[in-house]
Amino acid sequence: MRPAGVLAVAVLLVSARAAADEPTGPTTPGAPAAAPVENEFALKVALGGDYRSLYGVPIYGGDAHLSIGAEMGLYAVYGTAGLTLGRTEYGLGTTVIDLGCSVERRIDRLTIGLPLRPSYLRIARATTSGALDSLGIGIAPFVGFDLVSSEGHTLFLAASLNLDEYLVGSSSFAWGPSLSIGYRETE
Amino acid sequence: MCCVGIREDELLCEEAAAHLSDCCPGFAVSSLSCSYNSGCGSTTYPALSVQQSQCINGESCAALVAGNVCQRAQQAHAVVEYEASTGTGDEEFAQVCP
Repeated sequence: MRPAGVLAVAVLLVSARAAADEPTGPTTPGAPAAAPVENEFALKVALGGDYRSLYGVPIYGGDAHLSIGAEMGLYAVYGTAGLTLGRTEYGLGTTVIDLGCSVERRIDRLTIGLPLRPSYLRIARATTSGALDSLGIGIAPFVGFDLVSSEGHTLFLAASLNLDEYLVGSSSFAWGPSLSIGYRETE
Repeated sequence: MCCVGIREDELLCEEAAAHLSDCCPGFAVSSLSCSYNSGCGSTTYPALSVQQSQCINGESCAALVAGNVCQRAQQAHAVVEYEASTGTGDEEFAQVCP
């Protein structure tokens, strides 16, 4: 199994285990029923720094991501869109555009999440004005930590591992970590 | 048009071309071919093989200049394989680096 698959399974298992450990509500006859979980509209923006390796070529970049979704108690679901601009070690310009969805699980101030995202990667050529480009599919399991939170406004840090398989022509695998800071609002 | 794909030999060749362009005075980067094309009975490979590109990318500017890698890379030409031939090996690429 590829690293992407192993990580995806690990994140899902951790989430499932955490969910299984939760109290399931009052069991004493006559006790008040648990309050129903409310769905809240949620929005996230995040800025980060990225490192990726493609065929051993290092790519350094910065990314911006916008996510819109819903918080449902300890879980959240988002649709995401992102843009990453970067350069290879020797200066080839790179662009990644990704669109996808993310499932997240809150554990106190921690968040674990698993975005699934198709993406487009473009690498400018040095020898011509053209580019190498491809479409791919990837995941980016992450761990987040809420730094400050007040009345639906949260500032957080997140570390993720980007794992993308590009599928056009010869298949190529890009991977690498990213660190981001973001703001989340729920209402 | 999307997409041409990202081949290892093309990407490493382009990265090497960018490195040579930075390091080698007067290097004409546009004269180096890093494209792969297949069709009409022939296949064209980048002028620098994966191994040659990795060698260039691992060298400092001073080493590239001192070792005449700049001059040899400038003279490297794309390798063309015709359908009737029996395949390409790394020996068909110019020995550029080290």
